[in-house]
Amino acid sequence: MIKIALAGNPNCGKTSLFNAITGRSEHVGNWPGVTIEKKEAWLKDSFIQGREKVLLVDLPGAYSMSPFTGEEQITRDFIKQEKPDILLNIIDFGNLDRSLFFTTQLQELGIPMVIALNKSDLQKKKKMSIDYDNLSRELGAPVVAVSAVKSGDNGLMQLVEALYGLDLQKAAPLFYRTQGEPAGSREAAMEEDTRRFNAVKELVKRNEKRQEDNSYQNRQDKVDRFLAHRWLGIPVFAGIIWLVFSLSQAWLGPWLADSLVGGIDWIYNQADGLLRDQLNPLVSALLLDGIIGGVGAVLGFLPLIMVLFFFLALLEDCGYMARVALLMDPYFKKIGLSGKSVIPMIVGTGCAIPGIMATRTIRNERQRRTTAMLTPFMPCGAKLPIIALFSGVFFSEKGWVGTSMYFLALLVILLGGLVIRKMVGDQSKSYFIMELPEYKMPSLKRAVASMFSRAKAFIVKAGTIILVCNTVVQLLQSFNWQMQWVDIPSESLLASVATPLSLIFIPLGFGLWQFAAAAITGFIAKENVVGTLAVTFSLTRFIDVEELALVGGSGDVRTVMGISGAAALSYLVFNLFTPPCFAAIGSMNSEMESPKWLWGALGFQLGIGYSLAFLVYQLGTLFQTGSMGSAFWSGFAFIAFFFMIIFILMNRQKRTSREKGTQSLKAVQ
Amino acid sequence: MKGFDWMILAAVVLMVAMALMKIRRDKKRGAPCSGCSSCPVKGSCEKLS
Repeated sequence: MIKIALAGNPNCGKTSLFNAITGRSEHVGNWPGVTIEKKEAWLKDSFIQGREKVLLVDLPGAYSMSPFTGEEQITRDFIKQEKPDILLNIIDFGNLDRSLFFTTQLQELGIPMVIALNKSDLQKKKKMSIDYDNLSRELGAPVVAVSAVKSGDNGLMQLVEALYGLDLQKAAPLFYRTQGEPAGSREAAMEEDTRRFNAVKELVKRNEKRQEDNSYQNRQDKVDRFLAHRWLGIPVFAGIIWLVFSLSQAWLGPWLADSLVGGIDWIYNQADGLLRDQLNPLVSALLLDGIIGGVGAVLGFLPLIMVLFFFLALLEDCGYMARVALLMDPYFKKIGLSGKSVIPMIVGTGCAIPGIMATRTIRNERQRRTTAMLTPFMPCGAKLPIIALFSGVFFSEKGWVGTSMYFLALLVILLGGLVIRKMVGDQSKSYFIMELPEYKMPSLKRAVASMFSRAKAFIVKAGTIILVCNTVVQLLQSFNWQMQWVDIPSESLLASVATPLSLIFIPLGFGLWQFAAAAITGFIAKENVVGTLAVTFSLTRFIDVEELALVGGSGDVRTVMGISGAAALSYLVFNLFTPPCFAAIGSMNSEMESPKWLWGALGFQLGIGYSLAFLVYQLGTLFQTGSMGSAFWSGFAFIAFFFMIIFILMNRQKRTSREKGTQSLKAVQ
Repeated sequence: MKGFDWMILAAVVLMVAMALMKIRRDKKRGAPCSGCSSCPVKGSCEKLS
């Protein structure tokens, strides 16, 4: 077996190349820092052709062998300690000088190397050419031009041949030799880097020809002046998010969902007609209401999720999402974070777990923990069915509800970050340097692949966690404590457990046991909220087949649930802003590495979720009816207690900082 | 309960058992959730389990 490590600068297309030659479908993104852990896969059989097997290891991007971030450390440690047989150094075709700096450092490790010049399909557009033969001669390693995203003549076969043709016992000669002793001081290291960079610059000058045409770059800059503008960029971002949510939840998504829901309905009706009278009530309830009805209700939202992720993938691939990180950077700086914290939050719109894991790219401990604490506030894919359900059933402007939840999440993150900074007291600043990827036409193939990947995950979840939970909920709803069958669900075991809990939700407007039960199962997986509501309210379809849209206005679901619009919005907010599912909490625990921070985060999220839901319900009811909603004072007492704790913690930190300041002043005197 | 009820109940139990086995398999593999196929860090979350 030959072990090959893929190494290169961030966003040079390592994972795209890895996917192309292994047949894997690892997540790729048009921004630096998508890969945060190493991944392994075997080279495709079509490339091996009966030769020795090859294990490829995709490593996070790094600019140099002196690691600055956690993921750069992973790359350095792997190459230095695990000593792969071959280094496949991937270089962005348009960024030779910066990329080759890292190449010269990799050469010093004495491992045989092949260089892949990726994105070579852009050479015509950039009006540039490279003398591959001479570059290969000067570097002493094979240089192959490839295009990982192109099909057909993409250079990948030539690359594999170059890898097989390499003498594994012979390392490439050094193009650049470190002068003198390894640098000890900072100044000496900087001088060494400058010398190396100048040598690389000369090398590029000899081998690269660029036609001086700045029109391509100017066009990119012009777009950026508009999309990444500090003030103008925000309404543009809001407009784009609104469009994406409207397409997924109000226009295209429900239209596509119609046929799926029609199919699920047909299966349910057929099974109901055939089996309901034939079966024992317990068995029919388990199969028809728990499994087919409950899982079907969740699955009905699949097209909405697919549409959302298709458009988010397009936005990511064209390079826009990287601009969002840049756009948010000044606002995040004000709360002691930086644009670096935005990336985990964007990743978190898919699933909070990888979002939280992406925080390990942040070096500052307080910033990393704060970002891990705030990332679950972003509405993830699992929360989308809840947004779609409540916005569709209770509000006519569905697109706006989804968009406003997205921006409410951003507002909560900004305010939350500020509060945490004041509670913790760390005033350190961080600087956000990001290489903006060029705008490009998004790949439909990649967007479709991303969409199907999300769809598969959603179906797997519906067939596993949601199926098990719905079955358990149906069982708990069918029996009482004496294990006797009950016809009225409110007399069931589930109702008796959930009813006391529902009392604390009265100030939030949804003090019914069904909502309490659904909120609890939501901690197992957020999609369960919809599934449990379907089982407990005996609803089999949330999407109206006749009207090609989610049931709206005075539709069935609204009547059955029996809560006001303000209470529905409050329930939505509660589920979006309280702690995430258990798997995400596990991920928070792992990244925070502090039980104090974890429990603090859970308390903070619970307090924020409850307070926001309280405000939404009470203010909404005040606007609708002219008076406050039910149990105002008990809810008010809870949030007053929560904010009092926050105030005490902030004040204690302020006092500690002041005392520290006085002590250091005395020491100076 | 009749014979047909037991058959359907067995099918339901089988479905739930298969779902539980899949969850267990995912957990063993190191995935903290069953959303592995869409996850950018799939196969790299061993630390969490």
